[in-house]
Amino acid sequence: MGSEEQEEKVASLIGRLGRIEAPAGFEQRVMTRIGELNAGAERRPTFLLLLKFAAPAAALLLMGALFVFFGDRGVNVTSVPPVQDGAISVAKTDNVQQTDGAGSAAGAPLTGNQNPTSRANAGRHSKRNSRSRSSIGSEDIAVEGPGETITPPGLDPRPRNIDPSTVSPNAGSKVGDVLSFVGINAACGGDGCRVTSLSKGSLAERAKLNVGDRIISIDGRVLDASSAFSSPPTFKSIQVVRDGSIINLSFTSN
Amino acid sequence: MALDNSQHGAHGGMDAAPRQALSDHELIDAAKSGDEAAYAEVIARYKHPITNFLYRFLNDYEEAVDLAQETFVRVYFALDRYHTNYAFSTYIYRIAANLAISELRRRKRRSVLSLTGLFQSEDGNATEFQPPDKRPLADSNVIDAERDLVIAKAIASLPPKYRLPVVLRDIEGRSYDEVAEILRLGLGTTKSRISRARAMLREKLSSYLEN
Repeated sequence: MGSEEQEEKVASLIGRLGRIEAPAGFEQRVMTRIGELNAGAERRPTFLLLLKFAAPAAALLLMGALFVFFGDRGVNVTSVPPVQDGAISVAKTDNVQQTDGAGSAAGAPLTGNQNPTSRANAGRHSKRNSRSRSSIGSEDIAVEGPGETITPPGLDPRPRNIDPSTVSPNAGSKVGDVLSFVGINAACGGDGCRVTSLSKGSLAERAKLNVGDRIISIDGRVLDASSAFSSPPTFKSIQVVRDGSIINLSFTSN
Repeated sequence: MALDNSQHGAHGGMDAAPRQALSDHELIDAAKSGDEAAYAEVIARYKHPITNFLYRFLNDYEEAVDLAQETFVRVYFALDRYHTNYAFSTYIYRIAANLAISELRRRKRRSVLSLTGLFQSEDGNATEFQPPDKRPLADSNVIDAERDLVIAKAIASLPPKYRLPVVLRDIEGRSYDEVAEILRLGLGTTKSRISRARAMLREKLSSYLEN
């Protein structure tokens, strides 16, 4: 028997299968389903409109709320005030004569949380724009310059939003790198950084920093060998100990 | 079922008899303009062939009836997209076939019941088949219920890509061209699949063919 003939036999065999019919009432059931779907379609616009507009609107509102709520949580690095480290301590100011125009008693030792810079600043509002300021036991020197923030190498000057909790206290540029940026070579120890040499023509030299000066703080941040800067210091306030006196220097002009 | 392509006049407000005389395309046009009775006539024409086709493909009467109804519902809501370039029968069979294939995929995902071993696919692997619906059917012309049952099981055991064309060709009596159009296959592929399906059925039904 040929292949085609066998195929024909198969076709004939399965073609003899009984015809299956749709049940009674088939048309009515179909038309009922169509009617139900039509009725549903008429009701649907309100629901669809709700889905179409309300859901995206709710999502936008939620995103806006999240942005407003969490947007303010980020800390702008440039707005963080300088660290007021109370470790400037009595030990470092034992031999310092303080003249405070704001009414502090002359020679009174600094308390733990008092920053000598801020205390000194309180009495010289009228001299803020002077190029060189001096007082008994305290000397402020300003260097004329472009008035811009000095950015040490390795630090991004752009404002950033960071979470302070994620920043390690010692993360960032080391104090030696920061000082060398303004022309200071220094040996840092537990009591600050002693200037060993100054680059010629550097900001530090122009600010009349001397070899042998001991830098104890920058922008209110007390220095030691392990200090590191996670944000660029402005160098607006540099405290050095020279011949037993604290001298305030500033590398920028205001 | 032979399509009625006779041309008749207006559709609105016609009696049942004139509707039966209208062609498929005329009924569809009437249904598009809101004549539900015209669509009911379309259903009446195709309900048995579509139900039979789906039953022979799925081997489950309840499912076949449900999918047949779904087919007519989908056709109704897609009337505006239907173009008369194609025969309506091709269009409705294609929708039914797509629904049937989707149903098979659903079943496969569910894997509610998996019986293997009775029949083998062409590559030797056991193929799934659905147990036949043993409830009495409204088919009074069944002469040998046992034979029909075995044939139905043999067809149901074929892989879908062979089952669909052979059901359309040998059970529904569609031409090769029409089967190719319904399944969107080339004519050569269609003929090849039908031939392959028959060869597989010949092996499974050899005892019936010898007698």
